[in-house]
Amino acid sequence: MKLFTLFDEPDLTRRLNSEVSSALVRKAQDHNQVETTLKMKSKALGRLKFIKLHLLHKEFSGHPTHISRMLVASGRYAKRSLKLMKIRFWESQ
Amino acid sequence: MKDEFQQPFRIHQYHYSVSSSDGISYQMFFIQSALAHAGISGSVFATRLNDISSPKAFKLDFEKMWDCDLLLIHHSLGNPSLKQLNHLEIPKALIYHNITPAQFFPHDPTLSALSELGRKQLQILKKDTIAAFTGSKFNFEELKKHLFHQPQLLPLLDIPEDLKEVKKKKQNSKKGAPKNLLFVGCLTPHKNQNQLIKTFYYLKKLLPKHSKLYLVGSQDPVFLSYLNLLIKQLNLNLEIKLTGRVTRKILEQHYEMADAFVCLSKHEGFCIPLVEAMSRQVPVFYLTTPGVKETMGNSGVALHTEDPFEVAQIIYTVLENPKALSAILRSQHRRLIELGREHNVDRVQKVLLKLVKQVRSTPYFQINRRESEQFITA
Repeated sequence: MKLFTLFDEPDLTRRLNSEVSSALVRKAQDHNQVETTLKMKSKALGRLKFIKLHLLHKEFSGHPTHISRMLVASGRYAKRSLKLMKIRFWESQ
Repeated sequence: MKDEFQQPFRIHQYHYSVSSSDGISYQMFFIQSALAHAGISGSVFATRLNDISSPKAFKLDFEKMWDCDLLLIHHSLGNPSLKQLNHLEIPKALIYHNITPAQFFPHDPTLSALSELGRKQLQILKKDTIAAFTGSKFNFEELKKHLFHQPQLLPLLDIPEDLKEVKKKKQNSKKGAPKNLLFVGCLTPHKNQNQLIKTFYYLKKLLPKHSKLYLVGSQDPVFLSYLNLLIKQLNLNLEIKLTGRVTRKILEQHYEMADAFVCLSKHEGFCIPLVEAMSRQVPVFYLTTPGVKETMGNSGVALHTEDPFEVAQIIYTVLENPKALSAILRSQHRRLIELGREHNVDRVQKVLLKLVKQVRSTPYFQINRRESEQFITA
């Protein structure tokens, strides 16, 4: 699979693509490290921070929760907003 | 520049907001300076002035706007002042800048509504303007979709054809030297900085110690909050710098020390920072979204994946290969020359001078009668 193109350099593109592909196969076990790290770290977070990260993550990965609208309205993460977020979060479970 | 009765031409410009660092303001001041060189005066007006003041730009004032031959209305997101502006009985032309689709603002109902309003207002502008211009072919197609008759391309910036002004950048070829990655653009969901942060998480393990990612640009508060949490959770506090809005001098310093410019934007009309990076000899890695592809042409490194793990490996492999780096810089130099043929001062002067001469030679009631047809063409 062609992962990238260097223009006017078909041989170099082919060679580097295959170099990248082999490196990716070699390190395949690291592929989802970002998601694993986020999940693992989230467990250690305080409840409210965890909810905030969870909701923001959902919001910006194509599953809008509409929670952050409140954040825009309030201008900052006021205690009241967090309370509402908490309620909405448990409702969504 | 004057007409046959020795009356100097004057062209004013308007956009809802003007600041010292956004792309639209950049083009407004570029047009103003290009016209000034041709002897055409004119002022910049805005409903909202951010970090800028008179005489560089003026607050919207209908009394001051009357004395011109033509008003260039720059249009992007919805403009709450458009109705009042349309009451001004002076010939107007549209300069269309891309409107980011509402789907990219799920977290902000205001921006989402302004995005929809912006598109609706194109219909009003179609009726009330005598010509339509835009800076890229991507936007040009969008104007055609909205049934604008014969829109024209108008340069967004000046790229000297001989590229004499291209600054030669010292490449940091020392093995083991830390690398600096850069992206310039406001922190918003469609610019996809979250993906850049995840990419850097993998790159940190590949690149030399103390390598950094700089994200330069103004910030959407909710998205910023998300990015900050992401950076904290991925333990990248020391390596990723969110600079906020910076001055031109500091921006130049960022380009100067950058080893790569990485753009994973999901939506762009035309991306001026890519041109700036190319002209400062910084290798550009980019996702091939339409506006970005149009800016880059056949140059730089076109990414066919947005998976952070894969992008990180690509960036590392290419940066480690001197042959690849010189091939990229060669292709970018060639692209700059191509862009220079479309984006230059001469073209701005030629296009707008022709328009303003036509306006002056046409009685206003005739302009009015024919305005729905956008009668003036290149």
